[in-house]
Amino acid sequence: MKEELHRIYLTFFAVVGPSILLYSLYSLTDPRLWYITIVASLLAVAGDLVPTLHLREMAISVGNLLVVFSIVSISTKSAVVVISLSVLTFALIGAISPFMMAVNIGQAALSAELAGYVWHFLIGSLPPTLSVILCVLVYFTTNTFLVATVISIRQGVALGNTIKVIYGNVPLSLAYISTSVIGGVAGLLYNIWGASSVVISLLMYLFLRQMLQQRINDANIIQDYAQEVKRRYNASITSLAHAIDARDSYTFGHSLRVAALSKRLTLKMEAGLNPEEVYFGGLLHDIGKIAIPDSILLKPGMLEASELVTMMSHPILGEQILRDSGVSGNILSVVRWHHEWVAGGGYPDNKSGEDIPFVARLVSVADAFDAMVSNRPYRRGCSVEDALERLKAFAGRQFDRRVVDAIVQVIESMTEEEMLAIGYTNEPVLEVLPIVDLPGSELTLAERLDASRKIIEWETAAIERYALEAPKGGSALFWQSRYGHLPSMFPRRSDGRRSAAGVDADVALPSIAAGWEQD
Amino acid sequence: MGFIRGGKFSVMPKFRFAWILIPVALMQVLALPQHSLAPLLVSVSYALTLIFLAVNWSYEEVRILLIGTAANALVIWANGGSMPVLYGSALTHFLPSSDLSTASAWHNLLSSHSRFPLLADIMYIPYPVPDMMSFGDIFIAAGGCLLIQRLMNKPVPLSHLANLGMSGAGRGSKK
Repeated sequence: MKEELHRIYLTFFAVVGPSILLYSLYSLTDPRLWYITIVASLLAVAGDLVPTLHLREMAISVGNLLVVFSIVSISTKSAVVVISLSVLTFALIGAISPFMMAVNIGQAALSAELAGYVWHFLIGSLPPTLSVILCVLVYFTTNTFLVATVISIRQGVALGNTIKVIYGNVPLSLAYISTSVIGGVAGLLYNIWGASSVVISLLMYLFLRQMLQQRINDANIIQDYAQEVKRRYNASITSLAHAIDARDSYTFGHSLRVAALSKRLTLKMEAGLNPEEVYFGGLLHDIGKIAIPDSILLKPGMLEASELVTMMSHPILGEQILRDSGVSGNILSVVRWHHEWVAGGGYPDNKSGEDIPFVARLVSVADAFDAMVSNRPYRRGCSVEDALERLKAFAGRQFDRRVVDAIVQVIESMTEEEMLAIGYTNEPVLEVLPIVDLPGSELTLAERLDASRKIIEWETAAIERYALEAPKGGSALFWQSRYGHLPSMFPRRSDGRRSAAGVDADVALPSIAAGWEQD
Repeated sequence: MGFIRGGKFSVMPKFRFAWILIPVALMQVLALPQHSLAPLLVSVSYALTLIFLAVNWSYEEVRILLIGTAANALVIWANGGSMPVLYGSALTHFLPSSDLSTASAWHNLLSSHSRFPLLADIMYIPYPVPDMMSFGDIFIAAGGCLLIQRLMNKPVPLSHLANLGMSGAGRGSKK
């Protein structure tokens, strides 16, 4: 339905524009106006091939100046011709489609017509300078508004946002209005003194343009610095998150997915949160796990009670790590309170209800969802539907009800590509085996050789790595003093025998590191 | 100018439907002598040219040519197959008699009945060849100039001119 309206809206301009243009061309029958119209049009074309003022996203052209000049000194019809040619020149450079070209001509022509009408309406009753200013304001407002509507339709952005961006861009608006006013003044002077007045107008225009360009350049430099600062801040936060990866790849992948989900939730819920901030909060929420020992962090089985207590300190550890890093309060609260329950009973501070900052409640839901659906070494993840059911069951107790509703909507509306893009996989779930020594007789010969090949590679890499640190010539004593045992080709099994999984120790495998003592 | 920039006639750009130009040229040649069919031939030839240019939309020079040809076509079609020419002192420089209809089959005299007078042959160009130019002719000349540059393998992208404007206005604003 909306697309229909948009298409009708655009088609209206595409039809109206060329019609107004044709009508203006047709009715410009006064020979005195021809030359000046053609000159103005050619100036507009030349000026648009070399746009005057370069802002980042848009360029101010001299076309606006010439339009107002034409309105004031020639006629509205010439102004329409001039602005259409200005639009056509932009279309030339940018290879815009004919339809969009017609739409642009439409909005430009309508704005010119309206401004011309205002000018002729006011010129009798108000002093000319005031009429010029009002005419310029009308032209600027109308043209910018129409351009904003077209842009917001084409890019699918809300109209309010586009308007805020365009009107709020002060250098742009300033440049637009001032060049148009110069055009109006040039027109007035032309009416009084004829062609010779163009010199003064040109000087005024060049001067103004120089000042505006200076200001725009400064604004661009400041914007560049701001971008750079933001980029470095993001980079440093991301490197913090990568630190987790060095300890535990599972947590890193988990953090990435939680961050992406949290960002989606923020965009969905529109609770006045900055999505980037929530993304970083999700990325860093488990950073406290850096301080958890490997025996607990990487344990493939269930945790015992004492280990659980240590694990439950990771929110506090994370907040301590980040306290002096300059991250915002929102991120700190996510790190510290993402395991709190809304009904009370969570850790570390046993907060409840509205005491828990909303950011933390949001990331908590995303965290729980990902934990439920991902596979652990000791249990398989549950399906997405089951996970959502569990979230709904605990809504109001552990989770904030509104966040749960939002995540249900988000997950149900996500396509498979989006899930894959976030970091989930759709590989088939394998049976999860407990980590025990596999008896050798159950492996085939190929599997045994494969296992032993992997172990040899690992050992070789380790030896090569450590060999760099050894004094020249190598020494088994160095190895023993540093690592407490002699180097070995095969890891020790729990019953004391040295054997690769499934490989008999008596089988002679090629010796990789000559000079090291072999058991 | 193309030779000055060091180009050669090597690469012919791939124009689609280039064969359309043959009947166009044919029609214009046929219309040279006084013909009752001349207006029709000229109008149709302009239509075909427009189609040819529109199909080759992707070239920048073709777009410029398109604007110029469209302007001329509009005037010619609206005035019954011939281009109005402004009669003034300028015209006597190369056309001693005021009888335009004997000199050219596809021009007529600009009068108050002519339509779209803005786009007609109203500008006198004394150099290099004395001639009356129209608004569309300016674009055709510019487009033809750039096209020849491209034929000589040294195309001038219009965005370069935009960069020229930037250099005068400060290099801080690189996109």
